[in-house]
Amino acid sequence: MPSARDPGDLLQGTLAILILKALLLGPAHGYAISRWIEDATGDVLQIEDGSLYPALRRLEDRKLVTSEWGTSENNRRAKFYELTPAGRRYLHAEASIWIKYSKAVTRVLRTHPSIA
Amino acid sequence: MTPQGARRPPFWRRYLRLVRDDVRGDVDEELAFHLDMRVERNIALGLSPDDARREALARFGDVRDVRDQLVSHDQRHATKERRAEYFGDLVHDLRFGARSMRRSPGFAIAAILTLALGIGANAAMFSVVNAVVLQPLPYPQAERLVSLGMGSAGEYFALRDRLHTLDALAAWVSITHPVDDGTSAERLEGAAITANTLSLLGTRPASGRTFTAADEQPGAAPVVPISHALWQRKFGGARAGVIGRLIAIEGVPCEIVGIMPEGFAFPNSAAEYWQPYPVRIANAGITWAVTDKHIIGRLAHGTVTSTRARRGASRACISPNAIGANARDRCAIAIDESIRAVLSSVA
Repeated sequence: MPSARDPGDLLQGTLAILILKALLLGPAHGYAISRWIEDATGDVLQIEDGSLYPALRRLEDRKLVTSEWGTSENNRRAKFYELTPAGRRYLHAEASIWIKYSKAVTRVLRTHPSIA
Repeated sequence: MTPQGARRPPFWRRYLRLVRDDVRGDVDEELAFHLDMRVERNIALGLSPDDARREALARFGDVRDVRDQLVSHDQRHATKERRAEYFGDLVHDLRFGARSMRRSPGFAIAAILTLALGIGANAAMFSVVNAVVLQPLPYPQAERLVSLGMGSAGEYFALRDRLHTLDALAAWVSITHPVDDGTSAERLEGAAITANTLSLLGTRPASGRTFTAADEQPGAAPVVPISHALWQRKFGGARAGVIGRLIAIEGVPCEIVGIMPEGFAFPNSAAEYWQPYPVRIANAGITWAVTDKHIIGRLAHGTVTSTRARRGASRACISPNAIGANARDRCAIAIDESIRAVLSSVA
């Protein structure tokens, strides 16, 4: 089980993909992204909420997402993040690599004697 | 601004920055929103407010560290963006300027011409004023040098003998003669000057001598001081053996008696040699009446230097009977017109 409390390289790359995937549904503020990741992963990847924001800044620097201040569902000022076309392309490219990679690892682990 | 640059931020955004630096506040607001939402959810899930808060903070991680990271990132970003916006505005303004010029080319041309003429006229005016007024003539006590304009031999004598406000009076004329140093000949500009001209100006030769009164006498051996430039060109600046050599000016062998200092440019920088111009009453009508000569003088010490007083002095010194009215007028006018007008013709 990957531990969420040590943010290694793997986690950072993973976090970027999770964020981009969360934004595929539409613009969202940081808390909504964090809630979506929680629900989607069944809270298996326990990511520190705080690590989300530096990750969002990095994505913004790479022009994969943009941000804009808006009003939240409970009428508070909140910063909303949105996927850019470049972010969408990046997500698709990374996702196919991920899927290929995990399939390969899964196949290896299932060879005799199977441990998964 | 959106990173894609698809939209320009509303114009009033930049004025907001004058009011406050909103980076820190924005970061705090964003993080506070997150924590508040988490606390609300925890309470909704059944936790006590204290536990809800504790859980939210634990889940968040190091709030202060995250906050510092975000603030420094956003400040860097804001600086970069402000710079980009500044240059963007600059480009925008330039484009606007170019467009409006293209829209009304007549006005643009008029404006550009006006500016060009203004600047050009100023530059031209300055170079004249600088040379005539601001830069003093390179002679000792140059403020005492006056030009009396052009005059005939008769006027020269009348002024010399009767204008007591002047220490000395000299006359000169530009000449151009073939100069032959034995190996090559070329036409060079020089000046024929009365023997006292160089001493009147106050410039001493760099080596050798200039004229003495004896050089003006009939039958005197022809002598010539030469310019620094001519010395360099013809004799390679040799220290020895130049003084005493003969060069032929207009076919007449003249002895080089002196070399003038570098930068000596009388009446202008083209003049490279000076020949004595004997002035005698006997041949005044023949030699001097043909063309007028430039007449310059040096004001006597103790002479009042104000224009008005000088005019009075010059009037007083000239008797209408002794010289023609023409000479008197000229004398009055020349000294009248003050040193400025005067010196430009000497310079």
